Amino acid sequence: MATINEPADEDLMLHYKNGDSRAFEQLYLRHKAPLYRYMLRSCESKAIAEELFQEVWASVIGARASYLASARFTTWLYRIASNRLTDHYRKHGKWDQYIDNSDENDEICAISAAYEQPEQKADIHQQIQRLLTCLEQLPALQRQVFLLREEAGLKLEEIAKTIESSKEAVKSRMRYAISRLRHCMGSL
Amino acid sequence: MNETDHNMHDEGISRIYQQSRIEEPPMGLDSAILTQARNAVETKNTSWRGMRWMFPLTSFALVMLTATLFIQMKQEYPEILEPSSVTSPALQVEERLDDVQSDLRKRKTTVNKEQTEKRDAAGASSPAMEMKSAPAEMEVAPAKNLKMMSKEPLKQEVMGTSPFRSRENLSEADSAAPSQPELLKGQASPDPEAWIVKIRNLLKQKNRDEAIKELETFRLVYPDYTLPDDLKILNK
Repeated sequence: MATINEPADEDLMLHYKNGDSRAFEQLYLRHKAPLYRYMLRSCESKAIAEELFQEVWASVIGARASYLASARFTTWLYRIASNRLTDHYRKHGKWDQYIDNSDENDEICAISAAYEQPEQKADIHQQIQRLLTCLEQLPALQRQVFLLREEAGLKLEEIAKTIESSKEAVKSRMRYAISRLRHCMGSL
Repeated sequence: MNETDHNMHDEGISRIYQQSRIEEPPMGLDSAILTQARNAVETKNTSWRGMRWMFPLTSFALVMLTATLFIQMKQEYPEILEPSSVTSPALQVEERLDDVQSDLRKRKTTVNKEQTEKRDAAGASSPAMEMKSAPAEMEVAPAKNLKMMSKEPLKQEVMGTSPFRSRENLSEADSAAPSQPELLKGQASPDPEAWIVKIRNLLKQKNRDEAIKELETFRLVYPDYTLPDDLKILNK
């Protein structure tokens, strides 16, 4: 993310809109890795993730003329990414799997209470692998809100705007995502 | 309930996840996206300043294209580009005019010869006036008569079906023209007065048939000319 001395994402995007390709390079370097991981962990394969990643940036390039700095650039970028994912799942008939939401699973909530801190059990590399495995097992919408916070650094309100949902729904998904991850990490 | 709620945020999970953030897009993907971004704005910013090479390149391409077409045309249709193989209509007219002029010169020489003979035979009395005036008229006449004589053939040539008629074809067409056959053969007199003198001379030489024939030709060329009384007898 931009520090005090660096130009804001929105300014860079406006510069790019006016024909400065260096501004885009800066913007890309800032956001490429988080966005790539967001796509990578939301898709079933690396190849698809890379394809969708490129499509997202192509959309940014194509939509530069209509970009308005009224919203945060990150929110705009991840909204494009989320829409791409949604389109992808719909196109390949995996929409039901994508929206599978087990928020009302009380069993998970109960188990989460018995969760132990993962670092007590294994070394860091094993813990990372466990977490990523658990993340894969999360319902897509819960994984989405978790990744938007961890990768994009978005607040709950911004996540709600990005995925065009209510703040309460986002809170609920986040709560269940954390519970499931705790349960999963403890049980592995 | 705020975002730091235990149920919505787990420091341990978050820390582990942050350590997992090592994947990055492949370099090929980076360069493809950056190139796409660069091309998108460069295409928009393309101006004449950036296309200074366009004019010389276009000129060179034009010259090459013209040369190629010329060579190809020369190979496939040599008769179009070879000036000696086909006579243009203008050249044909010029040649016809040359023919007529040379014909006139011959006729003038003949008339002069006849007049000289006549003068020698009859002495230098009243006919001398006619003899003197005739050559003068002959000198003046060619331009006017050439114009008159060449008018119809020229018209025919220009209005003809093919603009690339050969000389042979032209001669055939000329001989086939019914309106002024004698004229086209170069036998018509360039000047009516000189012609009349010639016909009179033929009469004086007792060559009546030849005079009648000459008069008929004269009538074909000058149908509106009012004949002198002495020649009206022949025109019956």
